Amino acid sequence: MNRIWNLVSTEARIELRERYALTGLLLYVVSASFIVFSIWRQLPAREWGLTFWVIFLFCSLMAALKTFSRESESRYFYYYTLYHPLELFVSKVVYNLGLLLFIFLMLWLVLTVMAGNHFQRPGWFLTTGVMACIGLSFLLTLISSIAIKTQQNASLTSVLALPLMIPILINVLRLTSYSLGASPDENPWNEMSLLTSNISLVAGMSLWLFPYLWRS
Amino acid sequence: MNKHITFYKFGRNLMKKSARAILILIALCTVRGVQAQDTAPDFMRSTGKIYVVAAVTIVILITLFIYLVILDRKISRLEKRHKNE
Amino acid sequence: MGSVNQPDRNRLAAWKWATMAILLFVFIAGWYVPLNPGIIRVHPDKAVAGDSISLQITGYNSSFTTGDASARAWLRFEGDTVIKAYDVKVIDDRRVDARFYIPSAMPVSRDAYPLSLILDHKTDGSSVLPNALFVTPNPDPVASEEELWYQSGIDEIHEKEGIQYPFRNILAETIRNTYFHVPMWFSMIILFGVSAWYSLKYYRKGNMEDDRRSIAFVKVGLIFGVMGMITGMLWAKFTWNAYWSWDVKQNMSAIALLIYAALMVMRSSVEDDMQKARLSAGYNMFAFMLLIPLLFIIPRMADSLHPGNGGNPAMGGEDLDNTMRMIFYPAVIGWIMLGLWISQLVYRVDNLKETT
Repeated sequence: MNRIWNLVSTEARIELRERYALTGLLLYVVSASFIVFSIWRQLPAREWGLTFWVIFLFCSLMAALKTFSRESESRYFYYYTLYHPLELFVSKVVYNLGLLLFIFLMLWLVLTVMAGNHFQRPGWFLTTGVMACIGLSFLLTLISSIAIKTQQNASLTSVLALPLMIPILINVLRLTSYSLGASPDENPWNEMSLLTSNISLVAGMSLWLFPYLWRS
Repeated sequence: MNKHITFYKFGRNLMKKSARAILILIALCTVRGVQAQDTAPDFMRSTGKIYVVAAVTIVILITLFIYLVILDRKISRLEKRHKNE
Repeated sequence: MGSVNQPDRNRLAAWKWATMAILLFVFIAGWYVPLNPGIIRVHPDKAVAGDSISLQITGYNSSFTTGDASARAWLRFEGDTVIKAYDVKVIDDRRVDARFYIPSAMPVSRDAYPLSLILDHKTDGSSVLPNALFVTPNPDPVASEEELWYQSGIDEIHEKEGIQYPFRNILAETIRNTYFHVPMWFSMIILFGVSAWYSLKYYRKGNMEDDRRSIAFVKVGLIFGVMGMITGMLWAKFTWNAYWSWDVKQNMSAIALLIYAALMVMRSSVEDDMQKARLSAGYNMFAFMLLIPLLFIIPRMADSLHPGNGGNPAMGGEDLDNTMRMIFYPAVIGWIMLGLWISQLVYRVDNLKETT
């Protein structure tokens, strides 16, 4: 546990030192929402939810691209001898989770400022967002660990990850429309349990497969 | 050498011809599309839409045949390599 | 797939003969068995309550003049509320004129009443056209006429003898596509499943042959998926009036194809063979596990144009009658076996390519 925390904090320290990375992400969020909002002008509740997740999707892909690419070959080797692959994986997931939560909250703030607050059940939206961040951070970390070993890392991450993100995204969209009050009589617990099982499937599979994929 | 050139020409001819055939096919399809706006049932919807079933069957058969041809060419390439060794 | 390593390859394995026989049976039965007679059109399709109307009924595949050339017809509102035609005249094999008196008072009060037409013929059997006639209410109804709705019931329904497929209104002959379009998806899922199984084997033992097998199954699964997609789009165009109607199942199958196409793209961008095999095995297993909720759980939770959705198990109940089942199950088995056969060929070719 301590070792994982060590890795995460090292990661975070590097990120903070190269300040352009985090600010770049923030700028990406703001400019993307600005463009989308200037096209829409007025966002009704349902479209608010859809726009939110579309922007979030691309921002999270942007963030995940850098998961492994910052490391040099020698650092890989160093990690490989020092840490168990699972420790490395979990630390990357935790770090990515932090990034995604940061994007999620920033985007929420930016869109609320720009397009107004439509929520009837903000608590539900927060839970949904946290769940989505957990699931996507597992998925994106695994996929970027696959994509880093190929020749075209950047495009392959999105090609491999986007179709796999859809099952989670569908659940998340339904829960979002529930929290926006767009579909009031639906039973959210049903959807939530499906989302939970989906995320645990993703988490379990990626924890099982990462040590195998990491060997090289 | 000569043989190669004739083959090349043949291939180019075939390409030209197939391109023309595809163009005609597209033109026909667009004409069909315009006609489809009439209230009377069009060709595909006539006789209980049986031509839809025909089209589906043909699509499956053609796809399988194309795949067969690709596989065939792969095997002949392998055979050639085998002979050369 | 034990037959790959059989020393004697000159004789075709029995299951391959069986595949051919089954598919031959499916093609012949799928095309040859006739459709039940049905009603395509009714003219006029609108009336006002209190009218006495003469409906011109156009049949499909019917032979109304056989037997004693008599038929009976009913208009049904809901359940027991039925009116019987007082005169039915057979004109030729395809046309029947039925005269109805529509009572001016209706059993319940609504803006419009969709009535279904039921036609019964001694040899042709019975056929139904849902929502055949739209009746608008009479401004001043005679209350006593409401009783007319309950005076007659639908009785002594005949059935056509012999083997035939049911007549569904929008589907008509395209119901035969059940044997050609639907098994494509079954085969695709099975092929992807087998591929994931070989990926698991590669994961356990690290044998390059297993990697080649799993990729051969993915390739052929993709072909079957593409065939399913094209045939589905064609079928949808002429029944749902659009090539793509953003139906859940359409979307999910498109996503499944995208996932596996991405796998093939990924393979082509890795140079080291071992690396390639390991990455694709991992991704393949991951993708197949995620495909299960995608293909089996999400479509059942949403409304769909496809039959067997909204909580129902697919392909049950009214969508398939017993006659169709007799051809549908062999069709599924036959197409799956054909898929396995082709993937075996692909594997053998790929194997030769790598080893010689």
